[in-house]
Amino acid sequence: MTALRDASRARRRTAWTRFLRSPGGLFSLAILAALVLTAVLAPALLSEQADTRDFMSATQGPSREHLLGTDALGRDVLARTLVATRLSLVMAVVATAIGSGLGITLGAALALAPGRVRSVGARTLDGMLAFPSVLMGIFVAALLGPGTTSAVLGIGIALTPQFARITMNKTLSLVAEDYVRLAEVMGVPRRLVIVRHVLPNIAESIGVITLVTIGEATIAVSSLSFLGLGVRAPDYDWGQLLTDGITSFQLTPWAALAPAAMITLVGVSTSLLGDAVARVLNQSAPRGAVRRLRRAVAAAVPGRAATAPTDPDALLSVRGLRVEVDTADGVGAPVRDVSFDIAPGEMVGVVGESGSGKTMTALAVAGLRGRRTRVSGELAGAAARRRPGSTTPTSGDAQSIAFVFQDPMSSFNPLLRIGTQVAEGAPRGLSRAERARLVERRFADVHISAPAHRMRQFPHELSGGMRQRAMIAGALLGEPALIVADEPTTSLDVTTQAQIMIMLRQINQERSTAVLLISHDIALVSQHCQRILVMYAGRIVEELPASRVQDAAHPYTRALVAATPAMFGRADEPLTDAGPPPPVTAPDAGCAFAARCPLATEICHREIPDPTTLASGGRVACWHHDEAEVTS
Amino acid sequence: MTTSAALSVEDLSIAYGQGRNRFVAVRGVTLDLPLRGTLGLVGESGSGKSTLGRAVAGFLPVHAGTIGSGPERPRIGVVLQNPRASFNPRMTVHRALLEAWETVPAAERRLSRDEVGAQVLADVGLGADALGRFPHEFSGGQLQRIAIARALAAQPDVLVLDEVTSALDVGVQATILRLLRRVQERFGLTYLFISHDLAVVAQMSDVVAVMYVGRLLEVGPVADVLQRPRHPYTRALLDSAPRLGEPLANAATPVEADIPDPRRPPPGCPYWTRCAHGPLRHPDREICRTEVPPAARSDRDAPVACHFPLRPDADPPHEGEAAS
Repeated sequence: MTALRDASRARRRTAWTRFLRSPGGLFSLAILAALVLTAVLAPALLSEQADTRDFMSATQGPSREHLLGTDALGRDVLARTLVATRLSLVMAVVATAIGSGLGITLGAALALAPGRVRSVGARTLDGMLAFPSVLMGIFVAALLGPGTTSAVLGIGIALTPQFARITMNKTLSLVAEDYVRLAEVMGVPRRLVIVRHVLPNIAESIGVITLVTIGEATIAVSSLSFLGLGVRAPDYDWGQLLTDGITSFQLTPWAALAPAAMITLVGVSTSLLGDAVARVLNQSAPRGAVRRLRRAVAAAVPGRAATAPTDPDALLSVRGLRVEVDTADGVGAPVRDVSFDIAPGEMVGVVGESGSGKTMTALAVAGLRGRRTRVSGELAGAAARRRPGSTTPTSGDAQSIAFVFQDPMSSFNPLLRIGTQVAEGAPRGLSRAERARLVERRFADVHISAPAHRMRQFPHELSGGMRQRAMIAGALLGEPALIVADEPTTSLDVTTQAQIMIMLRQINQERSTAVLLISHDIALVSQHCQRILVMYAGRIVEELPASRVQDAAHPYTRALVAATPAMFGRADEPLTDAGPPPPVTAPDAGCAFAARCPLATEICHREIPDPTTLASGGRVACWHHDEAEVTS
Repeated sequence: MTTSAALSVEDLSIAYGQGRNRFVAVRGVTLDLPLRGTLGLVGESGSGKSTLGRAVAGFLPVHAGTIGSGPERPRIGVVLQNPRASFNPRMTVHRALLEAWETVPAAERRLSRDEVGAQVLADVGLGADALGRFPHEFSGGQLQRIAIARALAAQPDVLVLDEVTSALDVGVQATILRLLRRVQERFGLTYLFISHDLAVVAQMSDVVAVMYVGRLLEVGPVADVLQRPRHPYTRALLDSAPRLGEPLANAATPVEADIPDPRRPPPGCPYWTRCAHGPLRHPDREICRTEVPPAARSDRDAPVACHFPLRPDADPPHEGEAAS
């Protein structure tokens, strides 16, 4: 248990360090601390100085006795500004407390109210939000009559709608979360659901907003005082000092500038603090790193010495491909020393689990660029010469690589017609009409019904399968020699998947377009490809003819095959747990699969096995590949 | 309902929305969950399988029909597809497990408050050191184990498992499926196992039910449905599913057309717009366009909702590999 506590303390500590290191964090915190200290100490230390009238030195500029000069009654401007900190801040905090208290209660109540009440409430709140809070405050303060209390109440009420709206929205989205619904279905009492699952999860963001609102409230309350609706003499806050100071601005500008500066300081520091806190909170969500990694797309730069010479007859020959990505935990290498060839017209599958590096390999091969990514290795062959983004000058022939993404919805702009978007990939030098005709022809090639009609539709009007067909049609426009398809059917239904795969194979056979098919599904790949590359932790561990998938040599491939559910025969065979691969940041130390491999010996943990060519036509990188068949 | 059913769904319909936006997601489904066995529910997007599961789990109000099992309603637990979304990120594993345990009436509790956490974690193969940790500290597979542990803590009789392995890698999926089988045997649970993956359903189920655009098209023992499918859609599903090292069975994939929008299902049989055995290929089969075939029911001698079912003895697919 102590270990656990230490771990959570460490987590808190890193969040805190991150906060202090963030640009606005330390600065805003220091200023707010100084302001609070001033509010506590100044009235006790400086009241006398602030209230002493010295008519002899009234309305004077800065001097040694009065650093910022004096006001019309000869009182010290600096002292009065500092003393006013307490009243100004207390008013702002109380107003914010009233606003957030009322708002959160109202918002939560509306969120849990019946539908009709909720929608009327939401619309009323939206109407009130259209009103600036100062105007609202003026209205309330005018109704209640001027004074400190009414200013605070006025601003508090004026702030209520924004808190209510945010609370309501947050609560509504949380109530739809799986874990909240699960708790309800399990029979956890509603009261406990709210206390345990809803409130703690909205507290964070509401807290940040409250912090920022204190700054807003300071400005609003000061405005009311400035207009004579708030604090009245003999009390004074910054707003009131501003009113006094502004009348003699020509003579003693500091009398107005000092309180104005303080108001600005509070506003700026609270919003900086809010920003810094929000940033730290967002970062502590564990998903960030993974998402960044996914976003980081590769760009290939020929360079490092390759392990073996490239194949001159290959359509694409890859040697020693390495992709490095900056992650939160340091530099990671999702692709490590990958080498393979694709022959013209061949269909090759790349199989691996999430994090195996298969998508990164595909992107690097296709030459798609990303930030914080470095690619090294050698790419040769006809297809490599005219990759998008390739630095090598094009030779003019149509040998190129086209890319098909997994999710056709996010790859299309929702606001543009399908035909227009697909036509963007058409070869240059064609007229508009020629492009449209070409797109229509390709649409028909990929079996899109009523192609001319489909071209005028928007992405959301097409089914997932149709969108994927349109994307493949777009890939065909440039007559590519190689199509790299990254999980092209993963988001589709199985019957649609079968149709798309049949279509892709038709393209492969009829046009001799080579296909590099990336998939997590070894069964799918084995059905459509001639050759399979199996990736694990950034390396190709085995390369085998698809027909021999049941007789793989690498223990990982065998585990993958064993884990793939078969339609017939309720498995008595053990389903193997391959376990998660090591993280991308793990250093190269032996075979990455060794930790989970039933055959692993001492050498596996020490040295990375080199790929060996097998009699069956495959290649395998395993120290014990000849034992694999014996043990199973 | 038959005596061996843990739970019966009788002529169930479920609708969302009102007025013009009203949308019937499930239409007249009748099913029995075999006691201590698994009913596998398979279908593609828009089939209504998850809606049916959610209704059985109590997430959704029933629009017509009944979900019941006689005098004593069984305790129903549920595990969902996305384990990350299934846990409150601010709650430790222990608190989440205790919350589930607290929903069991005090007199029926098998475990005490002190033992429940470590015990249910042990049941799913995890150590007690997980108790004090937070959801984000676990991998998806581990978290799905914890989701199963939480379901066990509530002492269910029936578990609704909605695409529980769809978000997981195949190696992790295999261990979760194995775990589910072990847990089922040990505690005598009844499963409603929902998945889009027919191979996974085949691995897990005693009885298979096939849904399409809100309707139940075929239901029966797993061996019958998978080896002698009688509905052309079941056949298409089977032939479309990727199989290791075998060429794709090209013949029976459906006519190239989109799955209909479940908000606007076609008149007649929901599948005729894609059916290779229907009016598109056989002009004399006009009835498919106009009349809805009688619903498939597991409790009667009508396992298939089709005007022209495939003959059970004709050309059984993949006969050679058929297992016991």
